[in-house]
Amino acid sequence: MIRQLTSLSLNKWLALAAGGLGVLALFAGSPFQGHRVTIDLKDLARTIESEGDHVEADQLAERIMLKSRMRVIDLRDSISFASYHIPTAQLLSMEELLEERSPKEEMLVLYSEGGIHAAQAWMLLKAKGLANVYTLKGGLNAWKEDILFPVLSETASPEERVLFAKRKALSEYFGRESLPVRRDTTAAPAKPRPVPPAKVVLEREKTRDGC
Amino acid sequence: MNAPFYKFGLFGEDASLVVALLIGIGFGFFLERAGFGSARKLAAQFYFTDLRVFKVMFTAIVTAMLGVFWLSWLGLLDYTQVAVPSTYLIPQIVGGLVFGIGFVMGGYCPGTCCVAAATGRLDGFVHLFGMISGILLFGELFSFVEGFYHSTPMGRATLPDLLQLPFGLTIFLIVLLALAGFAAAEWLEGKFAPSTEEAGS
Repeated sequence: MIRQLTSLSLNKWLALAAGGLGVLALFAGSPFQGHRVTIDLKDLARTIESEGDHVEADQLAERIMLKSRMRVIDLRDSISFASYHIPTAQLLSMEELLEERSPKEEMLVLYSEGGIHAAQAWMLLKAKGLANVYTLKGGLNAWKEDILFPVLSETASPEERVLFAKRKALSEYFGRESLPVRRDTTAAPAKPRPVPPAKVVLEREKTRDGC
Repeated sequence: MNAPFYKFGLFGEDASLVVALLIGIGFGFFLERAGFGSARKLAAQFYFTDLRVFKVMFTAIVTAMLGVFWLSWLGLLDYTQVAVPSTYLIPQIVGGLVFGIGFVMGGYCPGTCCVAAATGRLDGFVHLFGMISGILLFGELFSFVEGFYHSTPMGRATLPDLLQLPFGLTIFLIVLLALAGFAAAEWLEGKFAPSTEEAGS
């Protein structure tokens, strides 16, 4: 009888503990510390399809010139960042970017060397619920090619000439801003030169791979 | 170090087999202690005279669920790394029915028939033989049923995802369901159990 009683009270005690932990679970929130989210896949697909996920190098350059409100984020390593970065850009790693608490509507432009890293970061931030995130199309490679070293081909159409004139102006602006050492608006062949990392050096890159 | 230990490389594949053996022995021990080595006790649940199978299994579910939730919450367990078998809805319903019919007919489920055999019960051996024959037969015929086996896939399906409920609320509801289930089970036992006191351990 006594044994039955003690086993009964143990059962009840265990049931009480389970019930208590269950009730507490109601208020404990998610066990994933905000790293688990729900995303609207269709919405993302639509944004990507309508090219609403990126800005062109020209658009970015104009926005920087006009001092529009936005944050430019560089996702490369600190050595690459020290050797050159887009003016106003801020260096952040992928994880730092995730931990950032920026206002939901703030415009963010992400870039990496070729664009893959930036596109991955774009997915993460979209999943986090940020509305106004873009990548730089073609990454820093495109920035160098289009803004810093624009080239006019001999068979260029009139539209291309207009675009070139515009880019040349941008090139001069950003060249002055960030290239005290060397300014080059012609198609210079790549000449690797050892330069101390503190100085700004830019070389035209032939390939657009990597990230 | 975070759990799951195997996924985070605390021990290798060989050591994992030793761990599996120890867990298996523990599992068998507790099945035997719960009285599940006896087909009579197991079958009693189908007559509502002894619902200990329901109670033990639901206790295990609630204990594991609360453990996973709170250990994840404390940061000791990475829930996303815990293996969850993929759901294939219709094949698994059919499999569940086959399992249930086998359970009612033979009086054992796969784990308990091993326990029964280990404790020297002849019906346990017969059941074990049937189970191994079934495994072999299934393996040989797998190419014929493979299409069905992989139909209606749902991937890693968990209740909070399926019901679109917050994690904590799902936990609370399952605990509530379990406690209500235990109370109902005791009530049913009181109603259906034979008047002679044979429901000891």
